[in-house]
Amino acid sequence: MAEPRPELIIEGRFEIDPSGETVTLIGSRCTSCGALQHPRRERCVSCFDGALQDCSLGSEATVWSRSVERLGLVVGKPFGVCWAEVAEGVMVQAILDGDVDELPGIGERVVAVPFTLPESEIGGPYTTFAFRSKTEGGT
Amino acid sequence: MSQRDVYVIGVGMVPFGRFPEIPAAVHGARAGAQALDDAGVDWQDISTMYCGASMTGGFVASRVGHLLGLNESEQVTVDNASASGSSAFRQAVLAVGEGRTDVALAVGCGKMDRAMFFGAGPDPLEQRIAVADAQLTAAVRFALIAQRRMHDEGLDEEVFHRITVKSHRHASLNPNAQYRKEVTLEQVLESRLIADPIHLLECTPTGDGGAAAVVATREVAERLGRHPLVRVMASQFRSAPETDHLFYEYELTKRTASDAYEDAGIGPSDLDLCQVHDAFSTEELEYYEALGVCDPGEGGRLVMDGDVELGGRIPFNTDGGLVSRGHPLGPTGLAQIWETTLQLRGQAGPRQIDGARLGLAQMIGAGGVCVIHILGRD
Repeated sequence: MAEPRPELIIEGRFEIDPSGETVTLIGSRCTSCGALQHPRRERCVSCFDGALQDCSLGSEATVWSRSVERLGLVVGKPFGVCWAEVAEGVMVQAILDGDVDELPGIGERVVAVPFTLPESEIGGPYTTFAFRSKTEGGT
Repeated sequence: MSQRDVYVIGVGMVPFGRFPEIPAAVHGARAGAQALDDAGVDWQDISTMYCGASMTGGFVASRVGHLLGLNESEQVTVDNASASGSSAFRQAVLAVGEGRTDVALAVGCGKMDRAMFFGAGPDPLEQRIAVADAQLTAAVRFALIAQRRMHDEGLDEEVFHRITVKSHRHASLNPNAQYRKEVTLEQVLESRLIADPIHLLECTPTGDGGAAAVVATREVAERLGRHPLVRVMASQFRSAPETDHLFYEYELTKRTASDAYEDAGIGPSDLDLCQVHDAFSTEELEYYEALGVCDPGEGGRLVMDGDVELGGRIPFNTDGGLVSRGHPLGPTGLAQIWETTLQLRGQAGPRQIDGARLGLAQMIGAGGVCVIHILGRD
């Protein structure tokens, strides 16, 4: 039986899919202007009007830029970081899972997966999400 | 900009560096006293003082005020992260410009320690949110911006390293800079990688310091008559719309600069020097374009041609900038005013730009805000 995952680092931003292998990002959709936002908001920051509904932003994204955080803060070793577009106009900053020497390139598709942060100065361990190259790991 | 013209009549700055034995407020009081002496004004004559400080404990303006001496004036702490000093300066300018006082003091002081968990502070929940957003250090966001620019323009990362070499060269001529040694391209590359392509020598250091400026009406400036007249030609402030939250610095600077140029009645080609928020050397390049001193995609050429160096077409960060002069948050924007004022007075020593008449100072505060001042010699 698989080990239970550590608690989510923050509630309400993403859900781990039943398979346990991918993550669905949660955002808001404005019922007035249709704008999508992540994370969820209490009011629309595009039209300042309308009611917001929770919505799925899916599991996939396109890398807009990526780098390597060499200090390894919290994660405990150097790790990739990216800005990825999960939906039109919705950019997310997230950890990139995988070898830092083989990060997905700008424009490549990535998929959100669960990612365990070890115990560190912020507490934990915690479960967050990271993006991983779509061509890696059979996803 | 405001109803009355406002002049910088005094500036002060204590050296930036690591001084664990000196409280931040002492740096502020020393810089404030210097600025008052430079202006020829007594502290007891100041009715309005704004103190820029961030991550420096509570009631900083009062602590600085107590150190300067007995004075029951209005003393207000202003916290806008990196832009705290610039915001304090703007408040002092507005106080004089709007006729609330004829003379005002702006002070900045601070100690920047290890900066982690972008903007989160000590709240454990906010720290977890920052980590969930992968916002562990500010270096990462500027590395991401740089990587995208390299991808889009085919820009070689050597351009960023050359900006670092330039800034350290400028700082070597500044007695108040935290780093006063020149560095070579090789030394930049040999320093530790922090977030690709940013190396350690391309990051603003942690440290302490203080800086200050006295502003006044033209009548006061002429009556005191101690220095060439340096006028505040524009003071502009904008906050980033929330929708811009991942990469706001470029557009925010562009819009704020446009307002500032209109106020000052000048364009970017009229400027003789610029001070900008280069928390990382890669960031400085963004503002060459955003301020309009070059066309989009031309920033790399500006660096390689030496245009942004002292002696070049439009020198940037003539005092070394955040990367080399230092960046204790609260005083940084006022250090820019110190440097720009000295340049316009012709008192910048070995850093002096011949005949400098117009200078721009831009700061970004995390979150974010942009503050731009344009100073001109009458």
